[in-house]
Amino acid sequence: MLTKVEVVTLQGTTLSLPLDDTSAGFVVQDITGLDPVKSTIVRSKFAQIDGTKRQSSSREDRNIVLTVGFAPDYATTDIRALRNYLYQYLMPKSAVLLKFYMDGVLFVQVQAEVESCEAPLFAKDPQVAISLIAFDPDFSAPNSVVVEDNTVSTTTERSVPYAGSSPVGFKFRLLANRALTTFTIYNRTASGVIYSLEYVGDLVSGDVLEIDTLNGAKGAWLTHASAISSVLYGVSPVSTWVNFFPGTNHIRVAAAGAAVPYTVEYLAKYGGL
Amino acid sequence: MEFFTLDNQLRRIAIFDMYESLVWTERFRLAGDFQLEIASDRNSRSAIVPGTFCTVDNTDRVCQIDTVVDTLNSDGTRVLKVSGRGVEAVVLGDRVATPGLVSLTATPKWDITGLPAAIARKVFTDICITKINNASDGVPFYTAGTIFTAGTIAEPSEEITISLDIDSVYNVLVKLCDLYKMGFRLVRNADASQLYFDVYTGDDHTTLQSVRPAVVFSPELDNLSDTSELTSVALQKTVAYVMSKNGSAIAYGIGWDAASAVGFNRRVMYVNADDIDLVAGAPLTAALIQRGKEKLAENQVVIAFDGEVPQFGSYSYGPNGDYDLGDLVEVRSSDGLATNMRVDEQIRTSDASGEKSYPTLVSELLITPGSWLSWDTLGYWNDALGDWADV
Repeated sequence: MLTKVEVVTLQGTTLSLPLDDTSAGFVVQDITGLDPVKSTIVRSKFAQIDGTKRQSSSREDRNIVLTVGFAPDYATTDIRALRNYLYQYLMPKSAVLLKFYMDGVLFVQVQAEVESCEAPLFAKDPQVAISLIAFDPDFSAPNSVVVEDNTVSTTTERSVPYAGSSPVGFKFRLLANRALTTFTIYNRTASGVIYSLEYVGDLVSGDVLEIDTLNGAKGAWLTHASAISSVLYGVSPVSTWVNFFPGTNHIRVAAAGAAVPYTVEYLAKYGGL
Repeated sequence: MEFFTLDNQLRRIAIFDMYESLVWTERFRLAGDFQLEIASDRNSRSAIVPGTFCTVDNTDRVCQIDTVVDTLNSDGTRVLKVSGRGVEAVVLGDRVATPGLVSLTATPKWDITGLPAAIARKVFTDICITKINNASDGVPFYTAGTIFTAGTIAEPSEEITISLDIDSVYNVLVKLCDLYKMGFRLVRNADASQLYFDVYTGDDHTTLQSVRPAVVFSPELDNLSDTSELTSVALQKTVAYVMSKNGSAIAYGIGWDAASAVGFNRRVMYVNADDIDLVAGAPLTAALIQRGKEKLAENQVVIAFDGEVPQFGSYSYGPNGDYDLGDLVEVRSSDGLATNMRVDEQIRTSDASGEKSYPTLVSELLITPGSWLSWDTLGYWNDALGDWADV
């Protein structure tokens, strides 16, 4: 159950809005925009054929609206003071980090920008409606998960349970301890679909190869003798950018020869609360 | 669609998958081009600069970024508007097709005799490989050979003599390919730092053959939408009067002759060939007729077809897909009329409204003189000349 919302500003200050505690003078009356964001599905229609053909689909950004009422004690605070206090954190154009706590534990967070902060002064029941736009439709876990393992020359897989509800890319880091010319990252999802990404390129002991499959951050970089350079061309053009999918993912990094250590780092994404 | 910038070895170096819109066009007889709109930030501004080569996924074509406009709109959005042309136009457009660096006291010409495809290859080879004009005229990363299997459509087999004015290699190739239904390309071999040049005619994917799988576009087959078909005779000419300093000649368009190009079918155009200064005789007549045919080829019946193929439709485009540029495909209208058309252009778009692929098809009904198709549709058997040959 959602128990608390925190608003963290760029300056590092935090506004805490517990849902079951009004001692600070704020009453969280409603929060909308926490459910999965609606997708826009593009499709083609044919003049003489029933139905449509899918083209693509995408989700818009997330619009979270916080409605906060006031519960002043009129001894140390009043409505005007509380309203001004909120303004310090939630002025329009402010960039904030929203943290959502489930049963007292930080569960997910999302970056957002305040679109509006409407607080009518002459109202019977004064309240503030804050509209925030989160450019990423997904909430993300507060901490990334790092999986450490070694390449294999067999079909042995490593199970990685992914708790998120949205597919997510990851940062793969290969720590070469010997010469290596090619390897392939496989992911067999819970539904049995296998995705693979092949890398072809000369690596020597001491090299660190980093492949990021996260949308918007895709790329491959090689750290060799302390110099970093893009080696995107090493990623086979017919490869897919492997993602983790909800459920148990079975990853395997296949390379001939002795084991080479690697890490996989990801941040779980949640499409809704 | 993923947009890649390439390094100075023509290898993918950066990937951009978050942009506002990307239109990537590949063409059979012309160089392709692209337009990209992407958020202007430090990353995009540093990687997307004029002169950088680029490509997208599922293609072997390369473009060069030639224009970057960094716009700041009144609503605060800052967008890089990027455009560029295919490497064919960039490299071959900057090479001069001439058999040697000579003075202009006499009008310099490059007279070549041979098959059209061989002439196209000779022009490229002499200028860019043999480098007859300058040792620096070569094409970087050019690799001899091809990465494609031979097409099933035969190259034009009629030997011609062509007299080329000084022009860029690109313009010469475009002119030749346009005239003789060929295409040319300068393609990248993955990340191997290789460019291959190819003059090609494509594969036959119509139902009239059984070598390649048939590709049939039809609204009935649920694989074609938003179609538009253009047929125009507005610019059609059937006869050319070609005049030069030392003589004149009459040329007929493909499928026409002195007997058929009469009455309302006689659509005459005048061709000024004062740059042909051969003395009167057979070579002059041949050169004038060739010039007339070239001009008539630019004034044919126009039959063009536009349609939108769903990205997840029954056919995929590309070197490893069901059809590629230059291929002959079959288009059937909703009333069953079938037309064989050539894939002349493929436009791939990706924006907020989805990712789509649009082929532009042109009619490619090649009428050979003497074939049944060349007969006047209003002719009568009794008027036919000649005798039946034994078969």
